[in-house]
Amino acid sequence: MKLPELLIPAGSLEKLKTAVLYGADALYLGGQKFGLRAAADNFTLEELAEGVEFAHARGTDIYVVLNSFLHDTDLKELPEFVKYLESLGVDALIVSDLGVIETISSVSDLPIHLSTQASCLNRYSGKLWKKMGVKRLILGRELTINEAKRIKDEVDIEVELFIHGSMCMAYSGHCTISNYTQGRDSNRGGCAHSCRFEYSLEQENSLEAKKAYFMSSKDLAGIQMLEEFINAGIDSVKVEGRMKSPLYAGTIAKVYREALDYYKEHQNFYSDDMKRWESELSKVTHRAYHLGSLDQKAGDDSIYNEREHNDSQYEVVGRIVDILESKAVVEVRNAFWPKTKLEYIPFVGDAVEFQAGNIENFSSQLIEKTRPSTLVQIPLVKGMKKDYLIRANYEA
Amino acid sequence: MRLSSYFSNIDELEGLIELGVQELIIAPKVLSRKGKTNLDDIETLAQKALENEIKLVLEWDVLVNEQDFDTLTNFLKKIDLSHFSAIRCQDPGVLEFLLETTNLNIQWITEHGNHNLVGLQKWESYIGDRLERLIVSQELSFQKLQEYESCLKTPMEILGLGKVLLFYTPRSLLSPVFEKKGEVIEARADSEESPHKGFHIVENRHGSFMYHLKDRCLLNEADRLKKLQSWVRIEHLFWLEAQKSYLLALVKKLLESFEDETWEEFKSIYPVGLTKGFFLTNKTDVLFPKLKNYRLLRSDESYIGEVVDVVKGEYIVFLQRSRSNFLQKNMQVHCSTPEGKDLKFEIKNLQNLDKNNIEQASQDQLVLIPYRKTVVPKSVFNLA
Repeated sequence: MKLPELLIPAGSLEKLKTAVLYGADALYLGGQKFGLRAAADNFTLEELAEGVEFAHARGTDIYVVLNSFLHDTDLKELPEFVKYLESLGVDALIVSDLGVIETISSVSDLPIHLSTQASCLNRYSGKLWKKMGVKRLILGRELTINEAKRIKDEVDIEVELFIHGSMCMAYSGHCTISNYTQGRDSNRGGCAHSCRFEYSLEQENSLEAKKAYFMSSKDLAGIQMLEEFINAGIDSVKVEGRMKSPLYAGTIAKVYREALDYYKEHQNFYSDDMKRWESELSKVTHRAYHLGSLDQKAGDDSIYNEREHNDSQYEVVGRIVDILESKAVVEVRNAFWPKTKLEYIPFVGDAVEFQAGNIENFSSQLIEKTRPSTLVQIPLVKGMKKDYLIRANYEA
Repeated sequence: MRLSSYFSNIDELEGLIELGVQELIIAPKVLSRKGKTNLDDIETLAQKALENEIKLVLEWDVLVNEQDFDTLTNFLKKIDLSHFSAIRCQDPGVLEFLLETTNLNIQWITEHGNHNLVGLQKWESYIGDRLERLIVSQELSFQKLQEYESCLKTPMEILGLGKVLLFYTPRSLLSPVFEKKGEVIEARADSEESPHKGFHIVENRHGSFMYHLKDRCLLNEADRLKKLQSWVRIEHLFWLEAQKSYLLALVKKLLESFEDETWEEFKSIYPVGLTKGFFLTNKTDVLFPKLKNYRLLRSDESYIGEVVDVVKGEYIVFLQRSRSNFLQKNMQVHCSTPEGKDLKFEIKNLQNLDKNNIEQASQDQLVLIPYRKTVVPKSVFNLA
């Protein structure tokens, strides 16, 4: 039995390290150019080198996204960048544009994964892209697992399918709302998320308009179908979210890692653990979850017709960045108080509850309420380690 | 100028012939995003066009999920393909299928992406002799089109007048809102979060489509169009039947001899506003530098690390990030703050988090340095 690779987004070096430590098999990330997230931190050349070194030292693969639809001028700088990536030993490049594939192939032997931006949706499309030199298809999010299996079997190629995260409502690569309304090329990283806006919809001759977030999709959460992914022989399960926080990358990586490892050991999911994993995923900021098109074509119930909000009773408040003799140093992302019930999340195993206790700065001044983007010290709790995430539990 | 247009109704043929179209596209409902033609009506339309010696093209531009592929190919089998000199498609899978199983010439729609010559030339070489035309992106400027024409072997086609598709999903987005099903549901969408009002939304059997509030119109760019050898497509599928013949007559007049009076009349009766889109220029990447604070971007040669906390009057916590430039006691640093302030100063003292004095920070180490006014979290230190 071959388990799928767990592929996690890394929008920055910090996210990369977090995702590796929490169990990612592979990471995808972008450089300063050519990827689809112009607003993300992305990696400088030195950070790329450091990231590849860090990941490879722990057996984790690195895929670099070059999945913008590049214009002629953009292509000029690409060969040099690709050669640099090859010299670092990155494991594959993620590409959506045929011109980019051609350019890469002319200067490098790096494996090419076809980005979901290319909306590969059927076996014939898979055959075409295979002839173009693609080694792996990242299939469109409009496909079921069964369709993905059929494409894999018919084309005889690696396939990757999204299992978790935000969803484009449009066929990927086929949305240009931002181009025309914001002057930002959505297919070169400028998406303004206009599909998340509330719209007033009016039909001809109707008496009143209806307000709706009619183009906004619920988030994908496919953990309950993980066994179907495995049985279908899907080579890689992908999590969306390069723009999301290190805390997101770590938490999602940990849950799916545990699930995959459980299956490896037991060859089934006959366990209450599935409920626990779903519960863990619900503790991360997200829109309402849905299976997307994993089991059948996404229907009316896949639309997130609400203003964006967070229902979770949990909030990740920070990360342990250093361990001192009797203190843990926490980089604060969200506020907490001395009496806040916290949990640290180990790389492996259950979260451990504790109360924050006395919070101090480095002048030994007590702090009543932490502020984001500060560093504080809290009493060390048994088992705490550097890089563990900490979340607050407001359920009680 | 070679003109191409849609043919969905016998009554519009006369106007299209008058306009001078050399090619008519039949768009079946089952295969085309904007299709208006039932399978049963294709034969009649085709016969009529061929009687008038006009070349026919079949449109299959929907994207096709694996589970629907065989259904759509069965639809194709019901069409007498001998009437058509070419078929236009956009899904690479449909392209591959047509290349494998038919002898039809291909009009390959490269409207999503394909903004570079290398890619277009690769499509040319892949499809080979059967590639009759490249329908190119509406995001290409006139200058780019001219450049491509000189480098490509295959004629191109651009949209001269018609809808600008912004968004295409296979999901049904309007029927849940209006709580009704129908073959086609249409609505107008406005958002308070966008300055643009009046997007045309259409839901049909293929999913939901959002169109720009304005149609692309290059009729007032006739001089430039004449400099291009490209085919020009005039779309009319969304016009009111009652207006079609008159609008087509105005289009003809404008293309033959552009006159302001005709242009004003055309604009006044055209159902929606008009735009040239990106025909004159495409600068959709110029705003990218404003999407993040480039002042804080790491410049590998001089970058040392960043400030993670500042306690007024007490200390600064600094994270050593670089693997080559290290923060050292007594060194001069150049600090850039997120707000755009720059300052240089000396690191007079350096401590680890246990408050022990150190000479130099090691990679990924958090260190304490004396408080300095103006320095705030996320400030970046570079070599001075």
